[in-house]
Amino acid sequence: MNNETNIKTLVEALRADAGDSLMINEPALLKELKSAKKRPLSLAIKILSVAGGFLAAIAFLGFVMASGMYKSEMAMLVIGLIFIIGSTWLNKKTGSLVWDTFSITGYIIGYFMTAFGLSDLHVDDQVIALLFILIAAVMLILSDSYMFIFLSVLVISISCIFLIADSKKDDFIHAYIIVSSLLMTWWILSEAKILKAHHKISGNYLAIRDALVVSFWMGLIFVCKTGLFNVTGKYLWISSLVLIPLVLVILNETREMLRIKTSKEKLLTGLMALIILLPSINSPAIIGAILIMLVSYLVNFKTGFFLGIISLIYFIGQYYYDLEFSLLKKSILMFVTGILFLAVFFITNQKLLPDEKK
Amino acid sequence: MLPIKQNDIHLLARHSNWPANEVEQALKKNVYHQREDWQKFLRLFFLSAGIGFATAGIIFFLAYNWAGMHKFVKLGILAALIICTTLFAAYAKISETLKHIILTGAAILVGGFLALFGQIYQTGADAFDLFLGWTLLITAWVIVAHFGALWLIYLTLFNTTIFLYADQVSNEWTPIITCTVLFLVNGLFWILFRWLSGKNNHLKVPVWLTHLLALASVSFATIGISMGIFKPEPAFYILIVLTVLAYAMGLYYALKSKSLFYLSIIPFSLIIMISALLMKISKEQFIFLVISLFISISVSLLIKMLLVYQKKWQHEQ
Repeated sequence: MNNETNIKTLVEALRADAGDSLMINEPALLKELKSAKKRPLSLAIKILSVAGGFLAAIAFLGFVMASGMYKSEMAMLVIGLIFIIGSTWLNKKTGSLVWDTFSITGYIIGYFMTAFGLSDLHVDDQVIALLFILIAAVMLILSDSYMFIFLSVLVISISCIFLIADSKKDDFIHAYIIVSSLLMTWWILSEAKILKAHHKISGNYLAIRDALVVSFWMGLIFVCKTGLFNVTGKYLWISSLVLIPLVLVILNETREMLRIKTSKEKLLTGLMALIILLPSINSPAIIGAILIMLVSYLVNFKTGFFLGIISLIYFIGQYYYDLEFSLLKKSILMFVTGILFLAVFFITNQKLLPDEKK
Repeated sequence: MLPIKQNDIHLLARHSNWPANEVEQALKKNVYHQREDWQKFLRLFFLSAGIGFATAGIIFFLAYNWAGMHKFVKLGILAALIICTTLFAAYAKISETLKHIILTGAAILVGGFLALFGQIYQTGADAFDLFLGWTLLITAWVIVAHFGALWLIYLTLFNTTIFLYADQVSNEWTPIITCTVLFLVNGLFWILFRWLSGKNNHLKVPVWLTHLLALASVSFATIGISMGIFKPEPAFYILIVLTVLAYAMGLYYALKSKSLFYLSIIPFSLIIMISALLMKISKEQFIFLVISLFISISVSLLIKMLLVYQKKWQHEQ
């Protein structure tokens, strides 16, 4: 089997380096290799299961609406909780990925029905959100599959955002952005350390990583457009205060790779980075998109990288659209920014050429 | 030796006493992007950002109704810019990629020029005329450059032109006809690109572009047929026949080229269409339950099939 030969080659290469001190738990390794659930999912399959899960869930909820089932709040609540717990159990029990769509559908339906039931029982919206965070956290610990971990983290993030929006104190979104950005960056930079930590967390590293990137991205959507939600323009710079240093941290990771060694070079590149980032200080969405793009590129996370690029293009467009300058001022601003980037390009071009060309 | 994948490293790290710092080295060597990648990326990023912003600045400048300037001067500046960038792209001694990026900028400026022209002379032209003219004018450049991003812009313009024709100009085009035409156009371009890629390595079209085209085609077919299920008309039956042919071809191609992508989007589109059909068949409440079960079961079976093929193709590698 292809995977096996691959692993064996890696093991041999490692043994040659590390000598006999390397101890491998081969039975456990082979067992996990053979387990279908742990095979890395292709993007197509991931998207299909979520899309299928969502559509099926919507159809089912349509049935619930049409049949009048929603009239009994207790039934909604109980059935909702059964769906959540049942689908988590089903997902844990079944070895194959085929049941994934069913369990995802059930999981999504469960949350919606529980929400309807609770809200019809006049439970406060914020309490529902807090309850969801708790439920999702428990399911997170119990689950083992990529999709469930991914969705559970998303439920927690969406509930947090909902709490902020519902409390009408939308400026707290900056706390969310700061926490999620720090978490995401730390998680991605510490891949090796986390892999060696607890066995179960290591198995779900990628699911949590992807979910953290999406969660952070969702926070950015909140601040990308002035007037959207109730975020006041006065405190936008607070998020940027954390995001800009994080971008610099990522760039620092590449320092050794790009052979920026002397303190003069370090200062120059740091200054160039700051000059590019500072004008956007009032637009944390743009800096956030740059962060997603860079941190994804660092670890070769293709989907995150494309998310970052597309968000960057959109956020910049949105920023200029909202800018209350005259068209003339905007055009000059854009043109000068363009020249600035071209200047950086020419300054760094020599340094960035591949070795053979120099 | 086969390339070491991220999953292999994860697996091994979990089941051994491999020290964390060595795991990190392995990741950096085999999975993370290396020096050459970062160099390429940063150069491309700075250049694209520079050209992008500069081009946008110029377009905004034109949008600003600078009444004080004589119209010939305004048009002249833009025309001169287009000429300069094109000549530079054609003759300067720079890399192919740079030339392509600059030509893409010039192609965008053409649109700006047309917009300015329409604004100055108040020709009464609507958006359709602008996009039609824009598309036709840059056709030659797009074919000659054969650059992914430029093709993307061109195809977007092409689709927009057709859409605007249906929306603003034609009185007879129903939404289903529009969907059929868009499905056909994108499908034909897809066939063209696959043929070109097969013919010559120089003429290769990037995979993401053909994927995007296929996605667009399939989406239009899905939307068109779903609409037609609720309100049938002559064009609907033509669309069905074309779609059946295209999907059959698509599935054959998917199996031949071992692509999970095509094997996913075509069946998924069929699932959506059948769901629409189910909704049309009955107005009873229980039909939603049926649809829900149908989608769950069919997507599960589809995933099972995809996994079987994925495993089979990995073995054959």
